[in-house]
Amino acid sequence: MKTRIPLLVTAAALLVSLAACSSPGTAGTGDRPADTTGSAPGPSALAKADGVTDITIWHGLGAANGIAFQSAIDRFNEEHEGKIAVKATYQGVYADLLAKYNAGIRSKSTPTVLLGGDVATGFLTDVGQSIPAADMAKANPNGLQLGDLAEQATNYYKVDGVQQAVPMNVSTPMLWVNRTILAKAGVDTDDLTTLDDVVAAAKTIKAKTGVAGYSMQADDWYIEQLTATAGQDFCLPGNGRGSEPASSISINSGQAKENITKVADLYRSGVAVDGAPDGSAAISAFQAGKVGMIVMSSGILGALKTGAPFDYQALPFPTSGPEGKSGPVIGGSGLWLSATATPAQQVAGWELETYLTSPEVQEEFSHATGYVPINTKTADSASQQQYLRENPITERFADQLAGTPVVSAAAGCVSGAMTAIKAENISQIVAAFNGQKSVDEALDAAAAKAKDSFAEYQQQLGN
Amino acid sequence: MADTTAGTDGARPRSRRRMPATGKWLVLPALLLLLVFVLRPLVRTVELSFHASDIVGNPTRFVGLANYLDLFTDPGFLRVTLVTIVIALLGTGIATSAALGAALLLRRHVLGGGLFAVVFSLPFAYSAASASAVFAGLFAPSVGILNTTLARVGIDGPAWLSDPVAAVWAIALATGWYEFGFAFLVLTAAVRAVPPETIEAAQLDGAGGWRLAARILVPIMRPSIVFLTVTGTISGLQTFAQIQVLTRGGPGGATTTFVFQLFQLAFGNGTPDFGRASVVAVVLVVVIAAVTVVQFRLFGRNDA
Amino acid sequence: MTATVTSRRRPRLRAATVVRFLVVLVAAAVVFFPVWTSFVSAFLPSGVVVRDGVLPWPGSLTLRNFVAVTASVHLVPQYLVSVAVVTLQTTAQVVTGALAAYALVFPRWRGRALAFGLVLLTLAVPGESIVIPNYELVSAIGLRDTVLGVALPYLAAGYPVFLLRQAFAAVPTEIWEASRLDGAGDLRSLFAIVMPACRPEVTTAVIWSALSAWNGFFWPLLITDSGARTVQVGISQLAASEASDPSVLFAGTVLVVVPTILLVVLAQRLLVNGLARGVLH
Repeated sequence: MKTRIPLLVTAAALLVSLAACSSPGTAGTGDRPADTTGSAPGPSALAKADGVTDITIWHGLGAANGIAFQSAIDRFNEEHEGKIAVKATYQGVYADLLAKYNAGIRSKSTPTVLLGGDVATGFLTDVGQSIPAADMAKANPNGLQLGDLAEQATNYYKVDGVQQAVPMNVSTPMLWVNRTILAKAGVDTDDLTTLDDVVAAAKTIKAKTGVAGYSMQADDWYIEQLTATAGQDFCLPGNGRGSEPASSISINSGQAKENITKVADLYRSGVAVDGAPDGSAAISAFQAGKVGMIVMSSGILGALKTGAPFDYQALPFPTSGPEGKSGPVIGGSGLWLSATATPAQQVAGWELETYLTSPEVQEEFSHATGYVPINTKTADSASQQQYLRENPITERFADQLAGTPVVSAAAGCVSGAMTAIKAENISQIVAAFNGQKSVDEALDAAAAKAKDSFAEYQQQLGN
Repeated sequence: MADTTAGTDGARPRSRRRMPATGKWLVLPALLLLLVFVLRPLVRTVELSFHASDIVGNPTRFVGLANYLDLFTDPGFLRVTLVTIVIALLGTGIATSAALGAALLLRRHVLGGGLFAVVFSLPFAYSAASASAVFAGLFAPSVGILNTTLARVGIDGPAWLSDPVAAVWAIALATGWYEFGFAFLVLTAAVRAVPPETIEAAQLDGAGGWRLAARILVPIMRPSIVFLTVTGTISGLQTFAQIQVLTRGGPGGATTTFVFQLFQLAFGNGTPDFGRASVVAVVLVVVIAAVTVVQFRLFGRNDA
Repeated sequence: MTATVTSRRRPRLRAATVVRFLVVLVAAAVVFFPVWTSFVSAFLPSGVVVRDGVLPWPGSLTLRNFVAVTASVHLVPQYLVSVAVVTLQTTAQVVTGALAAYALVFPRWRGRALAFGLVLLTLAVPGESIVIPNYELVSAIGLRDTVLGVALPYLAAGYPVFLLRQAFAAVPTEIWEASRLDGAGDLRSLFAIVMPACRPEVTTAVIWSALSAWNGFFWPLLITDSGARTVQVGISQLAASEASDPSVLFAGTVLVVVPTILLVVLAQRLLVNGLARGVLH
């Protein structure tokens, strides 16, 4: 009676009003800022600012890499004390970083600079929350010189001819070998140039020593490598870098399919062992002498150096395609500058990007991690040349990067659907590795699913 | 205003004195909080499930049941449902039955009984995330400590995280292990609460070991067992942390549960699709409600 | 007759005792294995346990893994955040739960059944289903990356209300009425009379709330960056980033788990007694 109605009314009113209440970010409240080409701020915006300009940078560098990154940030803060203060936050692995960034877009709290994973390039371009690097470079002629950066690296972040982001930490895939085991099996490291060589050697290692011959991280990045080094575009048309967005993948045809099948056979015949989705098992097995060769990123150098020592070497990723048209795809992440930050913050962020890609910082950062310096001027310094002499493995990283042709195949696929596609691909391919389905089935299923993912993405884009 | 009906919801018959009617407002803090943070979001989630979403996750146009049809006609969805239920039941089953066994075994004095009780309680100190981190090291392919240890005694362990069936067991074992701690504490309390006279009477009747346990102890402990089974299943249906840390839904979707798929659709695929993710959320609510009702019907209310 | 029964029992008893002991020993070893492995691996460089087994030579023990953990993950602030969140959530859930349970049991009012129905409904709604709207709301209020933001959606929970309502309903009316007749207000009645009478259930509610607050993972992962990160999120990020160095990961789990292990070891008796009458009736 008396007490019932107020309660019911309260409850009903609350529910209705809260449900109808449009939360921030409902359709049409302008998440996509206006096109900012040509309106990038110049140095005066920062010079005019009073006091300290606070900026934030989010990244996905954990463990040792994160520590090295943080010390670079700390030095930047020291050098710019009183003018710029940077707060760096580790947001988890690239996938989590992207999820947090998305959530940030919805709640209008994105960082000034995002060190986003390479795979997110398509998405970050489409979502339009960043000022293209080309525009900032033009407005700040005394800052970062894009021409100083290795073209193989900047090419990855160029979409439709426009430089969107600046690469910061670049990794390259290598063939790591345990020389002791290879010697025991009678395999010469000089003979390991093509994929066929490597496959044969893996079988020999297993036959002659009983130790597994091959392993790799169960990540789609390595499937991309098997495609790119075959001179094949991973996604069509044109790896998504033209005016038309990507709508299909090519792994179930051509040389890429052959490559994947050869590697799958190694797994199915017991020559290769599972490396785990994060690569930890591949590295652990390699360190424990349980596998003779692994295909892993250059970034694992740090882990190998701190583990128990053994005789290992890094060789270039095996080739399987026409020279001059094929090569491995880079990994790592790039710097994206927020279009919604204040002009002073944007210029401060560009200062940070200039700093992070400078020869000195790249040199030091590459020593502490396994990333390759992307500034071509890094190799000019005496200290770097000394370092390369003392650490010949890192020289191989740099050589591989420099020797990669600037072609479509080696540039990597760009699409906002890449994250979803990568997950589905590797899921299918691992099933093929484990013998649960045939390689043909797996690749066809992956290609079909990818088609759907591309279509769904375009649908979401068009909404 | 004397109201002397004894309510079926356990209400007290009102006394003859008239009490000031302030007590009922005490329900407001909890009720308002639940309305705002549980029920209203539920309504919003249902609302989101009827809309498509753009690449940032904002709802766009109304699509009616299209998202639902999409999901239900996806053959993978049936598998997700199955995997979710299997993992929930396995994990809870392992934890509860093992804890029951341990509690019963320790009922009578055993050499070092106190130490064993502490050891059995240890998994309670682990959360799902930290237990998963530990089991990640145990189950890792090629170098997992479990398999290498088993190899030393000549047992060839399965490929825990790469084989679909073994992966489900891996998740169930990790879950069962850390839930075992709490289950053991609850069941030990339950066993201790059995009146000694009942036990003595049964023993004088000739019931020993097994019979005593099965015929006398377990039925008396039923409310605790039901409590553990119900709460364990409900939380098992929401398994996420273990999958996030151990298998990331693999291999080939073999360990993708509702919540993991929700996470993938909403946050993991790079381009959030809150419309589809909300469908999974709604289905999850329905399944949990259904399971709860079924379990209450089967076992009776756990406050009986 | 009793004499023969006992003398027939003794030899059987001995064999059974030994068997029981062995079974318990094996079970304890199985349960303890993950704990032992993680502790041992934490003190050794990566790969040693794989190579040499789980009973290693003490010679190669090292603290380097722990140093690496503390360098890459800020465990202490995360721990403090987790403790703050647990305290806040548990207190709030138990207090609001007790208030609501009181209101749902003692005073009679129309709409009481509806209110209880709404509470029951929330029991079926799992946290992950409502994460997205809650994220929008908490962000809009500006509480992203704060302790309050982590705890806010969970300041009230259906289960403690449900549990305490069952408990309060079992309290004899006379006790409550007596206190009211003595002139005590609702709050006095609740906190001085009713709750002490339901100590076991209150204990269970506290343990349940604390445990679910401590174990929270999905929501804290979303709503925090680095400011209010909880220890569960920290440890899973450690798992993701320490892919190449399993020993460091183990060291991280050890650091996270040592305080709660101490709690369990010291309070095990207390927990059992507290639960003893909590879930049984």
